[in-house]
Amino acid sequence: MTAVQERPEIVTQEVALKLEGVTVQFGGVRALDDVSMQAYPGEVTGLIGPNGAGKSTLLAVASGLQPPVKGEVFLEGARLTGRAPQAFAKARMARTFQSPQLVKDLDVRQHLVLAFRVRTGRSLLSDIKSAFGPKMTKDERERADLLLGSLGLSDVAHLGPAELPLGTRRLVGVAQCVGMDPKVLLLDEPTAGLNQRETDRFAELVTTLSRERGIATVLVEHDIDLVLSISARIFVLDFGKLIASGTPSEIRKNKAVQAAYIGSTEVGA
Amino acid sequence: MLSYLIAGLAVGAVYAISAMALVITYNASRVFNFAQGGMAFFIAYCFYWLVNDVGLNSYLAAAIAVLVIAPVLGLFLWAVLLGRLSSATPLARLAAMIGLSVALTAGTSVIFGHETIVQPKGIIQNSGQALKLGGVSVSDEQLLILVVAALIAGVGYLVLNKTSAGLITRGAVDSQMMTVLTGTNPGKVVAGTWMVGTAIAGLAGILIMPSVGLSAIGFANVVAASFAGVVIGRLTNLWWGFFGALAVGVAQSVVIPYLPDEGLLATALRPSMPFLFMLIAILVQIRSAGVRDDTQSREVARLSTKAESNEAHVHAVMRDQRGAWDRWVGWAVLAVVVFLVPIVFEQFWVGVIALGMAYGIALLSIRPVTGETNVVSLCQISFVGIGAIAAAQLSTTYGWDVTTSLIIGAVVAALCGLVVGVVCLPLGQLYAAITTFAFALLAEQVIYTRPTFSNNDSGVFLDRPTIAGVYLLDNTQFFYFATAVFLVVAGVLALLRRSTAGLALATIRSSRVRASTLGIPIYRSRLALFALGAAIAGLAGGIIASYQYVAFPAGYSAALGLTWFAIAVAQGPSSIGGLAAAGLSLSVAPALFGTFLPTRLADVPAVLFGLMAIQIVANPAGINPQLRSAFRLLARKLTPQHPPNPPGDDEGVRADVSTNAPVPVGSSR
Repeated sequence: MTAVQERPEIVTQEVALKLEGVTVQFGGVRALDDVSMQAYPGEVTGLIGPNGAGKSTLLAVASGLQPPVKGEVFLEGARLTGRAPQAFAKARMARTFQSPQLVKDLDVRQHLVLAFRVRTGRSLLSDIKSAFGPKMTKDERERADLLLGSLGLSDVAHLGPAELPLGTRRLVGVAQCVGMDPKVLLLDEPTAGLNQRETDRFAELVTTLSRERGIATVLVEHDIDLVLSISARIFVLDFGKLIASGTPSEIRKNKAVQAAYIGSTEVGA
Repeated sequence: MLSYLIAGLAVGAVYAISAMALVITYNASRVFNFAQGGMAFFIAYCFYWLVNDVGLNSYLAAAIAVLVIAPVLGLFLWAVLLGRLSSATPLARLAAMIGLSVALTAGTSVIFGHETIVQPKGIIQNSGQALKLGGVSVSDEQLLILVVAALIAGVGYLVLNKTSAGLITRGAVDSQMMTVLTGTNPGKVVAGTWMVGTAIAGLAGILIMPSVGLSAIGFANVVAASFAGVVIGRLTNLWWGFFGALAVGVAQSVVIPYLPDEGLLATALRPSMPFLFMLIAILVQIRSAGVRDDTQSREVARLSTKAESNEAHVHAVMRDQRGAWDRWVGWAVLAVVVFLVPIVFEQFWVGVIALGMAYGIALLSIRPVTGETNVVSLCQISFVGIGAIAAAQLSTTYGWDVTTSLIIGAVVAALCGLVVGVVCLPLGQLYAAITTFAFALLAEQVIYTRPTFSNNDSGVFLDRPTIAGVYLLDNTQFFYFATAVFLVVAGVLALLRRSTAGLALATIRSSRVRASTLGIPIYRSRLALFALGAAIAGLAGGIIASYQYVAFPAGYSAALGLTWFAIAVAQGPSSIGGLAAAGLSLSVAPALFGTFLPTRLADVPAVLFGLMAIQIVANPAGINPQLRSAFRLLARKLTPQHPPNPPGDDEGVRADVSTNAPVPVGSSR
């Protein structure tokens, strides 16, 4: 793996995403129990845990899709707890999904154009003006093509989601999120369906995007090697509880994490 | 009061049986039986035919109808349609069931004749007093209904809870895969459920027949009342559904002594009960469940592979710009047709086509609602009626200019649309379909029957408009007017799709979860589109009424609305050409049948419309987009210059659609 090496120091800048004591209950099941985590601009934060640990639920809370019964969500210090997902998006929180959730009637480039326009802000007047203008402006087209090129998606810019394989669809989902120019980017198993070479390339891209654009990226992945190789810090969930957090080397050595994953074998060894 | 209670229990018991059939079939197949009214109508008619034409004893006839004909009908429909629906999108499922409803109801009229039988006799041919209860006499019929309802409820409880058949059925509902692993064929379970459900629906039809007559509308009302029970039971709870529907029937009856002798309350409250019960149930459910529409992932489209690839193929072909010159051919053909219609046809047929264009405007209202936001609205016809009534009142009663009245009629319809949208949009697609259908029935019985609007069932006069100084007396002039309005509305809708709002709406249509995380306001967008749809329908209503010189509310029935929806969805709810074709079919097909074929076959077009809607299961894009993509393919073949690396090459599209294998990032495709 052409991994981006572990960053030696924890950056001490302002926290971008902060979850405090988040608890989520589904009937009698406590999916998340008093979980806190933070993500910082410019770096990748890993979120790992075995199946059913609550990773996707935590992403749902962080993106406003699942209101917690207890706890708080802050984005750059602004409290967003209980707000609709649209408020999260306006605060420049973007996320992908395990199932890519693309739009069957739009081609790849149009997905990005929508993201640009959402970011710029829409109004009734701007929507009416857009009806009489070109489908996309020259500037929008160039920006879209630049971004798609950086993700290796230039060749599929004119295709619809149904014409793309699953791995490529996931990348289009990521591209749309990046098009929103987010402060926080939540990636839900983005490399599922990619082969090793693609995963390596993706790891490089995510790290570069986060660093260059100052995005706080939260990465939920089953590929532990990937998470360990590109994350500045990692949070580990098991049965809805936070069992460990720290740098990749700390996580590798953590006994509780080893027990949760693979008995006594060292994580990522 | 006791007599009202007993009468209410008898009517409510039929609603409850009907609700039970709906919940049973929905639980087993996740298909909501919008065709239940049509099924009950057909089986009740079979019973009537067996008694009156074949001469069988009524008990024997009921047994044959319920225990033989109904299960065979259920099994047949399962084999040809219902069994295939579970993997279709919610919209396709609904459209197919609505198509089936239209085809069954119209087919029954074709088979048995379409005159309404006002007071048919039921199972008890000469009903008298069966017993006295607290000084109130209970008729044989009422007693029979109550006993049958209690029996069905009791047997239903025992079968579902105490027998292995019930256990298997409940298992199949929760997990078809687990059912397979236990060695049971879930298909057989679902087929059996449809047989039982159809039999119960048929029994309800036979029991209610003496009260509502043998008319499609009477049966639609019964089913609407049972819909209220089903909504109370959140579609899946059998007993909440059963007793909820029973409560609707009781409430409709016990309020009678408290009603004033005349006025709106006197005539409107009872027919409004199902709608009011639904409204309360939905509000309670929203509050208690904390339903957040914007994040709702329920009922998100899940296409079957074949239907998905069919639709994807249509999209891929149309996305390719090579051969896009074909649209100019379409415009040229349209121009020639518009030019030739008044020259080739007589005034009568020009009028029929003009009316077809006006219907086309009405059906364009389905594009923003169903085509853009995937909301199944079965009350577009009500907005047509409201627009017609408002325009006629303003013009004829208050002396406003006709053209202004038509526009204000559209505004009034839009306001009504906002109110209906607020109620029906917070929940899922199925809820929207149910509540809008209930509203259509409500409008029919509460709004249209107001003496001011119905004018002793003769309607209110509405003159033709004067446009740019020309009074549109002539059918040819009216044809040009209706065509121009159609094109303007179609142009607005086309502009909407290419705008940023169009991109946002496409996202809402595909994934509400994705739309919400992109910051797109879902509820507000859908509400605005719903109101726009109502406005277009209202405008069309005024134009139709103006063509006919009368706003005749009875012409905008909920049952007819189902036919409109069926034909529109069959042609393609997003396709402007398809909606024009659908509108023309609504006008031209009946005129052709009425002019050249026997009266008995008058309902054949409706049967055809219903059957066309059913085919959406295999081809979700609709007939018109499929024809368009075939034409585009032809145009591509005729296009001389081929780009070096054709991006949307047909073969490539098929190969891509069929695979989910990952490709290297940035690899050339």
